Amino acid sequence: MHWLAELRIRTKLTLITVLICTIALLLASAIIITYDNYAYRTQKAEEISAQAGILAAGMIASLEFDDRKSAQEYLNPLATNPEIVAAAVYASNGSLFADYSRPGRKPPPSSAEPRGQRFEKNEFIVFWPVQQGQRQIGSVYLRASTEPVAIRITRYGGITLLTMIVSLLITLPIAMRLHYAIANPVYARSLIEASLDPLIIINPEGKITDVNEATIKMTGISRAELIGTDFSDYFTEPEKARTVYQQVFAQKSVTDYPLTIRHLDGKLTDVLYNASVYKDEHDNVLGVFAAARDVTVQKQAEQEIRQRTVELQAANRELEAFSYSVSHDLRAPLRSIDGFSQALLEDYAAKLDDQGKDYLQRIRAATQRMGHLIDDMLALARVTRAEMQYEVVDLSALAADVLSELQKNEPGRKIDWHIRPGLGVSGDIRLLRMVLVNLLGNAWKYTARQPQPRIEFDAQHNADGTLEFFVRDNGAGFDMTYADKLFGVFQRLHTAAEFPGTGVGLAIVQRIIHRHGGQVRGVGMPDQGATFYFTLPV
Amino acid sequence: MMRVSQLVFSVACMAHVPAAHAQIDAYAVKAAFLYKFGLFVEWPESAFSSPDSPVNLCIVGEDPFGKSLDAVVAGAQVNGRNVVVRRLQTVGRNPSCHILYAGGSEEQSKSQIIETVRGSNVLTVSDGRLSGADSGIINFVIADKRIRFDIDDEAAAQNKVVISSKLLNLALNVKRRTPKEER
Repeated sequence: MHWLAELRIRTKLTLITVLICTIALLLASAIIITYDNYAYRTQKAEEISAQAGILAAGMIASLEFDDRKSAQEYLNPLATNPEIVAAAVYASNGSLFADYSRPGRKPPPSSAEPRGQRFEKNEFIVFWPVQQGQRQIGSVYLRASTEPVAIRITRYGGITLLTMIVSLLITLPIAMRLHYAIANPVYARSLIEASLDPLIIINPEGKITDVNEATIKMTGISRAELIGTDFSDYFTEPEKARTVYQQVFAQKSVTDYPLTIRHLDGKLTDVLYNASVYKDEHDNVLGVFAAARDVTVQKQAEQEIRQRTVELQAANRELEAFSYSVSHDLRAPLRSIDGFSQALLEDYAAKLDDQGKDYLQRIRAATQRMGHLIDDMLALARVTRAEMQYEVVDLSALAADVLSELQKNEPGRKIDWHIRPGLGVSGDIRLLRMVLVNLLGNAWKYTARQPQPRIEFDAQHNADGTLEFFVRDNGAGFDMTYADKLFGVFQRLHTAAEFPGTGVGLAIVQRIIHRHGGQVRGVGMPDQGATFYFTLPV
Repeated sequence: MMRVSQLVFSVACMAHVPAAHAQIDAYAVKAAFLYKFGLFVEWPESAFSSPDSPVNLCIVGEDPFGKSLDAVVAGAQVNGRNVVVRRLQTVGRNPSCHILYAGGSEEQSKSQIIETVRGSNVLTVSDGRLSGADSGIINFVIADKRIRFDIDDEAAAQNKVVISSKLLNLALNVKRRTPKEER
């Protein structure tokens, strides 16, 4: 039955019509044949029996007076009835008295049988008693040919077939036309009504020809009132609405076109229109089929997100301003502590013993460290606050510049570094320089204990096609378990004693990359080196 | 004279029916016929005194049938009436007979018997070819070694006896009643 499901509704209905017609006709034929056969047999039996009765009455005298000749004379005229193939008269003792049979036909039996009648091989046989008063003085035998059932069935079959062909020829075109009228609208209507989105069908003049229930709900106007009116009447911007369907006729379809539907009670619904033309069997454009997607909820959500973003940005700016001013204001007292500690060491050196000098040295180291922390905090704040100035930046050249500087500061270190030339992006050169300073600086720092240090700056294409830059070293690396802490402010995976630093560098890197709309991630293993990947708009 | 004629008849019968007992069989058949004629004959109502009075089958003079006739008639009916055999020596006019077999005797010959009852409502039966008008309404003859009969329907009409066409059809010769005689 799988193939049946794939047929068109019209074809199915037509098949059903043919099937029902055929079944009805076959059934009718079967009933007619059965009834006709019954009627034919009954009639034939009555006819032949009546003839046997007449024959029997005529035979009385012949039998009574044992006159075979007259009996024979009675039988002979049966030749005029072509149906009678054999006849006989039997005496009261059952012996054959006189007989007749058509040439070539089986003669009657030689002895009588009791009264009775039967059909036998397309023949009807009857034995009829000859009676004189209450006395049976003999019997009559008649055998008549009947039309074979097969011939009758064949004839009726032919009539049935002919009737079937004629009735199908007449009913099929009518049925198909009716099926088209019934099946098409029912199916199409159920599909249109099944849609939760308002659906509108527009003719080339921009008039509405059909709508679904969802449209009625969204406009508050009845179907009858909508049909025939102008499509653009129901939007806050009729001009824009008119443009849409003109655009559909011109371009065959339009997607996600924003419009606002006005309900009769004034309620507005933001929708996105998806519309395309529909055609008849000959590819002629009949009109536009437009579906509106209610985006009120999405719009509200968007609005909410936008507002929250604004609020968040304001809060962030306040926080940054606060931390900038705090950091800045902390520097002054710190400078005093360091300055007066230095003055004590220099001016009162003679009065201080070694332990006192050591204490003062420690105070100075701590204040200087705090100074660095404050500097980094300020740098981080500046990164966030700074205005972005986009230009084309040659990252390869920038990386080479940064590494040369690092080499200059520590000429004693021998590092094997590789830079892929010509890697260019669009971005703020000052900020991008900070990114490379921090990433390459980290690589430089964490390869300090590596006998054969190696630093790479390169780029690769990801699975999704985006270009990803990376800085790779074979230094101390890190445990991936703490990867989420890498970019946090003041978060460090190594102690300051192992490797100096404040834990702000990678936080700065992340902020800069994010500000450029890119992503950054780190991959590493303890003592196996680390790789930092970042993407930037090219 | 009568005996001679009877002898002649017997000889004639012998000539047609080979065995001696065949003659007895022939009379048995005739006895049956005698009764059966009644089945195909209608008498006027006046021939019977009451609706259930019997049909009288009279043998007048010589009786060639004997017991075989009594055997045939025993329990038999004609149109709902019983059949009674009466054996008479002679008859007069209007005898109470419906079927009359003219056996004949010295006192009353066959011809005289038939002549006597002419006009009465009697179906007369004679045996052997008598001269002309002397034979009964039905007269037994032998044809093709079988017992057959001739019918004088005109004589039947004179006696107001109606013979069924079924019977007439079986007769070897029929003397049709003249149209004048018909109603």
